[in-house]
Amino acid sequence: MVVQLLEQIGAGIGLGSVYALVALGFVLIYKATEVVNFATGALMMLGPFLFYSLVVFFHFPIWLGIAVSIVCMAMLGAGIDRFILRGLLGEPMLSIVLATLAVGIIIDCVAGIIWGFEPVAAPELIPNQAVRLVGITLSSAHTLTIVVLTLLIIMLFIFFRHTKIGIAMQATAQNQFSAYMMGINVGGVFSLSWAISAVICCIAGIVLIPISSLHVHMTHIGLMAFPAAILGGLSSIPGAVVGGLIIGLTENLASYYFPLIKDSLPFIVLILVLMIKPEGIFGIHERKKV
Amino acid sequence: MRIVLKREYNDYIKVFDRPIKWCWVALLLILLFFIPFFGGTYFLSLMTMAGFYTIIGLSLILLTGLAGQISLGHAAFYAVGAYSSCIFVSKLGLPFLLAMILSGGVACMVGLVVGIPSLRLKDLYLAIATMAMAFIIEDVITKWESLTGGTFGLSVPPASIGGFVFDTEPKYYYLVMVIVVITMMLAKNIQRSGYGRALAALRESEIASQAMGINVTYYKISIFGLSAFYAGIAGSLYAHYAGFITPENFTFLLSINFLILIIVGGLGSVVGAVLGGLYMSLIPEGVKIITQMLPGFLEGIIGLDLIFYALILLAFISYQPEGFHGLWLKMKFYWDHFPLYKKGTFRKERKFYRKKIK
Amino acid sequence: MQTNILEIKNVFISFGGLSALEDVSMDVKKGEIHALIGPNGAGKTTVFNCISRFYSPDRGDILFKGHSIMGYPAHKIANIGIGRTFQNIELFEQMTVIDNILLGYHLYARSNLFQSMLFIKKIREREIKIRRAAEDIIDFLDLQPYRVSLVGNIPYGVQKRVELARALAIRPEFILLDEPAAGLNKEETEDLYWYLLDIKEELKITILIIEHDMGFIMRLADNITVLNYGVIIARGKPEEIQDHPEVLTAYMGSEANAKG
Repeated sequence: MVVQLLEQIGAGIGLGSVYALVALGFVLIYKATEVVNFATGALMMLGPFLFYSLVVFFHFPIWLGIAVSIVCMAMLGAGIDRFILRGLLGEPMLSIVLATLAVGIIIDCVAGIIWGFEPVAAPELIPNQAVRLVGITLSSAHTLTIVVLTLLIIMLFIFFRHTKIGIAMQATAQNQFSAYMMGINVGGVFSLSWAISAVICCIAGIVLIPISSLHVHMTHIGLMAFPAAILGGLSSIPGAVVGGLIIGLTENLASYYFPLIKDSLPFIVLILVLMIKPEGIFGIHERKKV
Repeated sequence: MRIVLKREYNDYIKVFDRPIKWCWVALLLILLFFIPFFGGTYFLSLMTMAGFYTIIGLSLILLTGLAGQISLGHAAFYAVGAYSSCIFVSKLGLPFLLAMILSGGVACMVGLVVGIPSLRLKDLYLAIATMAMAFIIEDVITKWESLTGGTFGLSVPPASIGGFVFDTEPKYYYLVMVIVVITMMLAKNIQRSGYGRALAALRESEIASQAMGINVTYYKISIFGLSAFYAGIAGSLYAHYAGFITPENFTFLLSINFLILIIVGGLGSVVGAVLGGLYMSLIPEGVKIITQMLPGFLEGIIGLDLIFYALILLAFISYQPEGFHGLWLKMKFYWDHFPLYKKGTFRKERKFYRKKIK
Repeated sequence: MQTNILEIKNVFISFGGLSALEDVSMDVKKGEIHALIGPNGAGKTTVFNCISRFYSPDRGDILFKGHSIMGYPAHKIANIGIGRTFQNIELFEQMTVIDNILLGYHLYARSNLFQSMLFIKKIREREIKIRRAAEDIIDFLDLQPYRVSLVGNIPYGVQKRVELARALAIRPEFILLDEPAAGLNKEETEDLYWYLLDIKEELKITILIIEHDMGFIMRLADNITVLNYGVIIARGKPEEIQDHPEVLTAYMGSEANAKG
């Protein structure tokens, strides 16, 4: 019983790592540009499909397929920011939300047209073995997601704390106007945030392949970014990770013990968080000064 | 240049500032009346659908355009209205008109509940909360099979008032048009009354509204309720028209479509809702015509129309955020001021950073 | 003996461990112009926000016309007759000047949803009545040229006047003015001086004003309270405050005092 529970927890954390990655991508953009990116799911879906095409149709080796799709997604992300969102800089939130939604819809449809709407047989990333850890068994897929998440967190941490660009991004996130005055290329920072976010989403999608099969409806998983990010705090990167893990965990446990509310549970959690503490676990309470 | 001189206070409150506009309205009503006679069944069905979308548009104009509350989940109220109406008529045997009003009421109740988060949350969080609520409602509808038939859907009996059954296109069309006109009048009255003014104040600055004694709670919750009521009525009309409803009809994408409807139509006005409703109903036809003109290999691709919608939406957001109604007003402005019109009048101010959050 | 229209008794409030107001007590007499001054960050706006019930003090009481207002929600404050302007004007920018003022009559022309939807005769008559009253305020503050302009489009000085009009629109007995002269040039400040005197004498409204322009305040105010770091350091008539050593120290540092 206990072993089963622990295994479910492990699987939940594995799933949660994917949600954490998606939430990371989402929060990164929000923190840097205050844009709510509803196209996160679409980006997460597009990356693995690119990878799939490169490997299956163009016979790229797996590592090269991953590398090229990452680069492509980075360029796409930067492109979306530069060409579509740049013109919408001062607009009210509704316009920007709808703009990202529209981008998401376009990506979804184009992907559906190119690759069809059925699940697709994906190349194997890692052999499908069980991993025994501390007495519980995790599938290799879940282990992969946890490992990737940890690596990414470390990389991002180093990037933000110790590189000039990372610090510039933090500055822009806190006060765009001053960042301009200090000579930081704010537009460049925005595009860079989008690029990094797209890369993270791409990686999230790729590690998701072994868990859920590769199909265009993967976009739906992108919606999980919302409960995760809100739970953790929209402007907080550690929050996104923690939020994603918790959501993944609760969803997994629910699907095992309370299957009826499995689909609604993340959203119920989201609403509860919004009612009790809208800023999330790590967020800061913003109050307008009069 | 045409100048309208206002001499009494009543001139500010009137619906139209010049009496001739009432003639245009009369003309329009006559036109609408005669459409079934020379329109053809297909066109008629499009206009009926436009009617549903107009009512939805009105509900969102009041909620988002006037009161400034964003709802990403309006399809849920639409769904609640549709399902309630179906259940009232087929399982409880209530007369159609009563069922329609009651299902509006049920949607209103749901709306009041959804409105509660709006009290503490600002735009973004509210949008996300409404989206989450919509997903939950959708899930409930899908899972509550004993009541809603789950994914198998429900079949809806045709509407009838006192023995007169609305089973043909023209009859339903007239029913819908009457209801649309009534809801439009009610919405316009709200806009020009003190209640509407308080909603606008709420949109601009909650703090100042409170300082002026406006009970923010009352207005936020009541407008959610009212908006949901309208959406519920539209849902009920749709259900009895379509004859069969499943949860697939009421997805998140539909909520997005509703928002597209008001942005493209024009966010701030009743006319915008009408234009948006027409757009939403007629645009699939337009897309079909365009795809037929395209080279052969592009035909028959699913999802191409969605791409068009999304592209049109992006175009409007970037270049014409006031929608068709805004475009119309700009054209009127141009002709009113001809030849003194300056090209830069409507140029957007270029911004380099986002304003501080309100 | 004049009655006190507002009494603040021993109010304490702190934000996240930082004490904003410590044992603040002050009285405002009915019909006077009372100034609340002090260096930036002293807590003056915090006092206003406590009166407006945007903040809840940790300890202490605030009495308006003898009744405690500590239990009231923010929107009830206007109801009982307290009006307020804001330091960074809080106007309804996409609405016209007259609409902004009309909102003030909201209290007196309570809008029922169903009646509004049907726009019955009663609603129409109410609308006309409150428009007439709004025009009186527009005349009083000489805002006629801007009646139907959008607030977002008018000059800053005029916006400040509309802010004042908005506070007057609820027909208050007592108004809180938060730096109404900030950003105004000499002419506009002079106009404001006369408007405020008119408000005191013609409309018989008590004024509690926060201001930094010392010349303005010394001419205008009947009584002054000085706040520094959340603590009241002086109270009295303008002449007394002008030479008060602690006030000088607070504003200009201890060297000013040394110079005498």
